[in-house]
Amino acid sequence: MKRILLPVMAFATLMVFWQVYVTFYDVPKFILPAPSAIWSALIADLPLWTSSAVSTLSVTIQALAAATFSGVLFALGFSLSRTFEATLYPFAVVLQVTPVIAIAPLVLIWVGIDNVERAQVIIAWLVAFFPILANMSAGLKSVDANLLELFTLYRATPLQRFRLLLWPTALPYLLASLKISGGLALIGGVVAEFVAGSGTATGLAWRIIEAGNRLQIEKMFAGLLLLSGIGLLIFYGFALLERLLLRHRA
Amino acid sequence: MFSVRNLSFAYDGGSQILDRFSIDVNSNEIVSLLGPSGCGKSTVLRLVAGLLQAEEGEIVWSEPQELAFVFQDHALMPWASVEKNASLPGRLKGQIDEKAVFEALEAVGLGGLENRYPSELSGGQRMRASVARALAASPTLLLMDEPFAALDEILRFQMNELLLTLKAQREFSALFVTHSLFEAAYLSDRVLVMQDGLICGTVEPGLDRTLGAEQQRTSPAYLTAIQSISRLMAGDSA
Repeated sequence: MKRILLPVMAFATLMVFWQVYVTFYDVPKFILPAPSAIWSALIADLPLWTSSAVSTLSVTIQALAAATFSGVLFALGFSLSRTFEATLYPFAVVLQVTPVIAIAPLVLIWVGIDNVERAQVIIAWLVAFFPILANMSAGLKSVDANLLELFTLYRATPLQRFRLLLWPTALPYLLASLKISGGLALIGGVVAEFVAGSGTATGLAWRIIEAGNRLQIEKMFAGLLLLSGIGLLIFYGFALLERLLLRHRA
Repeated sequence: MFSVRNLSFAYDGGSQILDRFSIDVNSNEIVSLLGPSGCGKSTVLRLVAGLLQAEEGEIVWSEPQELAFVFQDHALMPWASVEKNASLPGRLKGQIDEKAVFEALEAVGLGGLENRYPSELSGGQRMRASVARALAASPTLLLMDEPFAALDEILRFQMNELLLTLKAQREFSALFVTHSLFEAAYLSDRVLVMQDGLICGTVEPGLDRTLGAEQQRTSPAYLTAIQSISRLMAGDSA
């Protein structure tokens, strides 16, 4: 309870302080709008904000699902073949260390001219993939050597070995990586939309750009608020899942 | 029950661990392998279990055996209940004998704790669960690699008693690796003292199992066995 109450109280205090400061010092709203103005901007265009948030969330979920599937698959391949790992791991590192902002224009040209969302998903996948691959690989390698011997002694099939030993061992690593990759997928999707600028993009990033172009700062903050909300939702969603699935482990 | 004949083994690129190593283990017998670290005790267990392949030599079985392994670490699956852990051998073989699992848990004193998870057990209970998992496989040969080394002395004594009780109730042989000469002298029908991959001497404690634990541990046979083992470990093979 304390873990929920404390940040909520801190947030409420900040909002009150912000509101009082802006009102008391008469800060122009194109520099720092009051929280009440941001809230009003949000409520006034609620259907539009909702559809933009759904669009951003949809891109994030698609990218995260693709990153999870491919990350797990590649990690499994790495655990089965050192040659496969030695061949492909450097490419995965290249994907990770190359700034996504530099790759985004290329991806947009290749696949995003007629469908920005497709490019967004690919760019978000690019940034979300590596943490899952790296963590899952580490998880699969952290199998208890004694348990591995026990499975060999009882002649476990490869499927039994994966289902009963490798997957449960790697699960905490995967869940930890999902908390990181969830946020990264959201960032990747937003970056892609920023790079695309306009066109068919309908997500929150585009709403922020649009508001910025019109100096509607309260709308920019409203978009940021929703983006943070989605980020928090993803992070704490996975934290909750982690807590539920790993509740019996020390 | 089985004979190990002239086994030689070296880890990849390493020095020779075993060099023409031979032992015989009879039915319903506890044989301890005792010796300093790196002398090849655990390697013998893994070769017998088929977890390692010898370069030379052979293991001859009198009949097909059901093997079970108990490690120094409890090696329980933290995500599975005690019952799921104990039934692992059956699950992997495709047929879980629920009666055998239940009896094994009862035998080690974990009856009623089937639904607990390893994180909810004490160190001693975890080790008992590990022994129950081995017993649930209804083994004819129990391979034990320093199973009680990580436990405190009191718990270790309790686990020694548990093993002897189980041995009296069930028919199985055990090949037991330990660093403790006291444990080896107390538990074993035969103690094989190893040095540099070879057996440098054998001691048969011959304790009277009809006596209580304290009487056995103060009996002349026990004290003599300890002296003999000590001499062998000190390098006096005479």
